[in-house]
Amino acid sequence: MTLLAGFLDVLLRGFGTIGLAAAVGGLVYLRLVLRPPPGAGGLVAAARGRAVTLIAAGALLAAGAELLLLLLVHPWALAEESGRWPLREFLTTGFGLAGLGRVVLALALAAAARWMRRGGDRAWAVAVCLGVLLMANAAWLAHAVSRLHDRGPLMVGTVLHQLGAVVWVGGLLHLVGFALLWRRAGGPAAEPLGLHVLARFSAVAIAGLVLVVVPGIYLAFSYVGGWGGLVGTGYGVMVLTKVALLGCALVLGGLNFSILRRGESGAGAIAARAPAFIEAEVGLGLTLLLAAASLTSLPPSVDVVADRATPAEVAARFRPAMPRLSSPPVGQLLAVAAPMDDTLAKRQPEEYAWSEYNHHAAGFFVFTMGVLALLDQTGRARWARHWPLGFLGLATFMFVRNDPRAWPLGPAGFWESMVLPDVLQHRLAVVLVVALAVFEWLVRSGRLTRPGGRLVFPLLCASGGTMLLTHSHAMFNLKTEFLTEVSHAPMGLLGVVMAWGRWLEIRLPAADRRIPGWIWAACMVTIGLILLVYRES
Amino acid sequence: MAFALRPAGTPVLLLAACLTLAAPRATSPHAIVLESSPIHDAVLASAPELVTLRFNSRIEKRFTRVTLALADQAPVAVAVPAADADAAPDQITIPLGSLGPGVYVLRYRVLAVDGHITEGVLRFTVGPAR
Repeated sequence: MTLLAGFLDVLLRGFGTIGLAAAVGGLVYLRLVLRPPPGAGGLVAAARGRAVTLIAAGALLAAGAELLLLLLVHPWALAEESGRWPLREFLTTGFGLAGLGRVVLALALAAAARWMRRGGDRAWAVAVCLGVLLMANAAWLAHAVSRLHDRGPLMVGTVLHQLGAVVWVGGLLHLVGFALLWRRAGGPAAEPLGLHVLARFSAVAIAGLVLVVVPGIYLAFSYVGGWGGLVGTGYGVMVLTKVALLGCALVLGGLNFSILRRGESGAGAIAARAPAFIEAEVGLGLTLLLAAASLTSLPPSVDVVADRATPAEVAARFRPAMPRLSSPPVGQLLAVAAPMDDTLAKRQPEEYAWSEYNHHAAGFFVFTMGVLALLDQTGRARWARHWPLGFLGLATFMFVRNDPRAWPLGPAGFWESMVLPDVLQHRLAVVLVVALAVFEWLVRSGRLTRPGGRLVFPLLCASGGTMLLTHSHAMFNLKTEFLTEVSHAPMGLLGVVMAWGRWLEIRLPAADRRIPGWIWAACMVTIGLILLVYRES
Repeated sequence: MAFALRPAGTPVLLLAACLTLAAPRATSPHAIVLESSPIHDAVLASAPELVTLRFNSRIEKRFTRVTLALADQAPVAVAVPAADADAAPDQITIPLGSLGPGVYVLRYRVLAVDGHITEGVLRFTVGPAR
């Protein structure tokens, strides 16, 4: 129960931060970015209306996520032996009170946004005050509040770090809304306003990023401690992942900035390109917020001493080696494996070998598809466009091998084993891999032409990559589990880059599609290679 | 033949399915034990009267739940005294009563001040190692 509650906690904290970004970041966007130049027309009014709606929606999301945490997830996970949920007691803890504070402030901000529609400085001032209080309140919901030392500075550092992220990602969210209106409006009248808004956002985004980075360095020093903690613990690897995601987003932001500077005389080209870059950047930003929520569920590196892996042990997990070409027989595996619910059991060599073989075979499928996708990109091998069908082979392999204790290999029947959470997850994963195959093959073979259908593949890749980044298994054997799963972070990161690369390939004008096309296909090859050298022992 | 799909509906549905998949097998402990007495997998000549756990976070002690199981027997709930104002905010002390020889598994669930819930386990042996 606590395991599922822990996952829901990460997810709801992530959604809460996204809501906060849309709400508080939206206030900054409305005040500093969406300031129309003289003579701007109806597009500004529409953009302001959309921004206010998004501010209210973000505030409601933040309140809703917090309410679910306070009233459902935590009391359920803290249930007593009798089954009673200690709801009232929980709400009187520091965390409970701070959470209730967020709910009240966020609901008030949603109401203030409604008031802002009617205009007036008073509504605006109230909304800003509520935004400031919401950010300050976040200090009592962060990990810093539970630290024994340097609690105050860490709480302040966390709030400033979050404020930077909220301003940047929230601004991007609002910019997507604006860019869609801009694209739809088209015409020469919309061009100067679009350029004006983009230029103003660049300045705000840079300020937001400075706020992310400067307190972020202080927090990293405090929670990670040194190089050993950075590469030898789950927390450190997640910090590195956040830095890499931020780097990718900065590249996209830089590209947007450069086309803005280069294209002042040809704004039509900017309107065709900028929205795609903004969409990809917001995707990376949202992944960052979810990864940050996941980071709070991990023990800080400075606290992980005995269970810390050495850089040499981590490097060994990525050292190229011959993939396993054979697997232990299923009978041998079943004879030694402990029951699935025995969390204290030590994993046996046969279980490691079984899992490694599975990863290597999956790597073979992904690597082959990646190479075929690269071939397809050359435009000289049309037959290679059928590479998504490789996912069907992968799905079949996964269905047979994922759960050796269940049908078709093990004693547990198909329906009987469906009640086991692991088995259910694995079978749903198979369905999703089939969906990847079907949708992308239909797109590439010209049978699916609707825009929504074309975006299924990148959205599923983005979700899969984010899942890998936010989903940790380490529990009792922290170091062993960390080393087993250390390759998940680069694969998750590559999955996210692959997703937004493919997104850009779809959304950019035809002349600009080549580079993102090569990038996402290269990411798929690299994921295949990581799977091929995957090892657990 | 072109397939007619609703532009937004299908990706959103698949995203929802993807999120369902993310339900974890296990999650990592946020509040970890920095120090315990006895230590994990200790072999003790005589039974301990208390178990002490020191965490890396401040703990909301009134939500602590502990069970103790001997070998393959069913776990028994252990009462944890109400918070002592003088005790360190990161430490919990669990009285055990008198224990006979055997392998014991103590499972605990704590709530950190930042709202993270952690389950953990401490195994120790009383009497000669088996």
